[in-house]
Amino acid sequence: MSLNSPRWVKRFEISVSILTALVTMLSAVVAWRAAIAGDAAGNADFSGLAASINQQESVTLNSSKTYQQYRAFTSYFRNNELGNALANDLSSASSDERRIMERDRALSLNQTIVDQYFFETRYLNPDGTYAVQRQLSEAEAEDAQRKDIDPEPHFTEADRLRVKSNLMVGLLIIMAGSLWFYTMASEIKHAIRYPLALIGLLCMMVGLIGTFIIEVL
Amino acid sequence: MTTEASANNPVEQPLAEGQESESTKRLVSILIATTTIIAALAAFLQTDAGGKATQANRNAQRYAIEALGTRAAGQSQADYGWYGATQTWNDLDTEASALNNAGDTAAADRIIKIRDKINTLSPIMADPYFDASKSGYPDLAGFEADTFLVKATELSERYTAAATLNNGWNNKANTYIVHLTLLAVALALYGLSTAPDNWTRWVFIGAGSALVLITLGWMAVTITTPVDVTSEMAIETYAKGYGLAWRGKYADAITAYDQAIKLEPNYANVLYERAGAHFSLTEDKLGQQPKEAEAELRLSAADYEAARKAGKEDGSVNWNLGWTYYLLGFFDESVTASRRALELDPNLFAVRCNLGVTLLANGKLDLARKEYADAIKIVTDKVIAAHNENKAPPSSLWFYLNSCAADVDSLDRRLNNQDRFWTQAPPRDLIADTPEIRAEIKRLISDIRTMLVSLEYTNQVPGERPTANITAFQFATHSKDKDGNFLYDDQDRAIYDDPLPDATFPSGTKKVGILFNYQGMVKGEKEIWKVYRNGREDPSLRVVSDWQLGEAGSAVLPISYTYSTVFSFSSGEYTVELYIDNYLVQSGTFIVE
Repeated sequence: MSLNSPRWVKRFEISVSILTALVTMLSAVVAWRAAIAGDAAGNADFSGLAASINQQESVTLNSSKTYQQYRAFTSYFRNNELGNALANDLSSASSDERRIMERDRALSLNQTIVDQYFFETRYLNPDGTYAVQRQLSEAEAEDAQRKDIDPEPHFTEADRLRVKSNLMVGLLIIMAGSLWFYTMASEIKHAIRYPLALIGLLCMMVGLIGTFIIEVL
Repeated sequence: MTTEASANNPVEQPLAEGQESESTKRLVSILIATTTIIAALAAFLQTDAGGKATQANRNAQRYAIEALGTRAAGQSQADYGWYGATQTWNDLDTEASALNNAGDTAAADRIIKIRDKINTLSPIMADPYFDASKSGYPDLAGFEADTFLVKATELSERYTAAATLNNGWNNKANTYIVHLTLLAVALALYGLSTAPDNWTRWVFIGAGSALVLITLGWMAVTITTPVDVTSEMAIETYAKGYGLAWRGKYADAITAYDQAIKLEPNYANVLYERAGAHFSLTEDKLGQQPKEAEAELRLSAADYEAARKAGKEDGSVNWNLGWTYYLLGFFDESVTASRRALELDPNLFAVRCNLGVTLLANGKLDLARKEYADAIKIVTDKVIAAHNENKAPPSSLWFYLNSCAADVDSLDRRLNNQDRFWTQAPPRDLIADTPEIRAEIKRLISDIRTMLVSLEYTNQVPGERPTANITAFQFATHSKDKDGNFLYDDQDRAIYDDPLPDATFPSGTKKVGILFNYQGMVKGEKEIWKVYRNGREDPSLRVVSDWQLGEAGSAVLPISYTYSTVFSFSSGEYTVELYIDNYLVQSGTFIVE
């Protein structure tokens, strides 16, 4: 059967029409997948921003609370040190001084008992200092159990999905190219229509394989 | 027959109507396919630009949230350092001094040991922020800059940069949508061209093709138009400069800002902050060496102008620019800048005061009076509005009223060659000097200070002026015997030495008596005494009571630190003001060496 035979021409034209319809449908599918990816990227961005708010809320509130408690500890530290210093100096004091110093010592140490209600004593270090950083870290760890305070994975996912959406839309250009070659192949009544149709088919295959790869990876 | 002849000689014979239509349809099909490719390209560019805009918008929001969190958390730590550790250290230090003064050195040593242990509680109480041998107060600004301020500033700038980026990409994305719309119209025109069989099809084809070509050209312009991206290095350098300015190292800050400007010549925030740094460099010269401040002031004004040109056309730029021009004596430029600020927000009370003092210095008395009247009206309206809503007037009014009075006071000092280091006024030779202007300055100082006290104590504008008449204040020290004990009369009233003619007291003075005669007083009138040291009120010396003495006579008001075994009057110029029923009725000044 010759390439110019009416039967062959008829078959060719029907094939090109079918391929044109196919590439149009494939383009619609790619556009749909691109839209889905874009939408998912937006959702991931939203989740990331929500995690950012949680993270900063956690940092701000924990810092505020910890340093308020640290202020109470400072009062405790001052009174405790004064009580201890007075106790140490008692032996070398005269009896008059001793009475006053014992009274002051009792006042200071009583005050430390009140102060202890205003900070968490479990963060007291053996050397009498306060583990501020440990309190901050533990509070953050506790918050991480209750809510999402890590925005980074969401933002990474959003960026990945956005690249996917962009690549999908990029494939539409190749699909449109395929459509263009099919149109030329059907409209030009010359032997060149066959290579044109072949290029169109190649473009369509690239689009199809590209879509598959982007979807899978 | 005709068909056969045509088929045999296709070139020689003219195309039949049906054949022409067929070839035109082919052409249209190809045009449609080509336009589809262009549309696909536009869609890709739009998606890409839209995605970048969304990403920039997300980053902007993220940076804003992080900047706020960083600032708040850092401030908690700095607040502890200042109000927790530093305050405790100073409490203990004062206690140790008092014990030493009382001769109890053992107790003082005990307290000093505890005081020194406080240093271990916060990094602010250690090197490089604290050196007890130099000062009892750490470098809070340096600590804030190092721990959070530079980072928070950087994040804020990243927010601005990301928001600008979002704007740029959004513009591109929106333009591509217009392109897509135009291409859709072109496709519709191509589609229409297949319907008629006459010459009108060519009109549709021509219009569609023209539209496609225009869109292609427009797309090329849009693709090649760059989106503004602020250099990362410029942002980091700016934040570093901001931190240096925060800790008062203005010259170093200017160097950092210069580097940022080299990277981003139109970085408006840097220009604005550099203007502020140049201005801050002048602040220790403005009072007593105004000529030496001129060069820096000119640089400051130039940077404010550059910031405006770079797009920072807001109230604060024009406010500061107006004030800088005023200090330079460029009154017309100052008025223009202040009016621009007022166009943006007519309720900027402080700018209206700046405008008023500029017009006053320029000798435009009527215009100055109008501006001050408008300023007072803003205050009155706010007070009435607050009163109607059963609320207190905003405290910012007090702050700005105080500044407003201080600025007129500075003008008065410059006119009378009584400059102090805090004086901010234009060069003496540029100020209009007439008896009317001098009288207006005195009246304004009194009116504004009266308004300030009235607002503070009654939340209302001043009522009727009282009949009180107070003579000029004289200042004297509490008499002492030869052993240094204060002397009292048989009714236990303090006995004072003769008033000092120059009202100048030696260093270490703990008590000053203010001597005055009065008449026209009414028992029960509110009596308020305010004392300013070097232009700033010392609230610990304020006295508020009801008038208990008679209608006329002589009196002495003691102000003192005699209750303290540690403190005395610091050296400086002290201005005492007496208010009766919220009206300023007398003021006077004494000096402590």
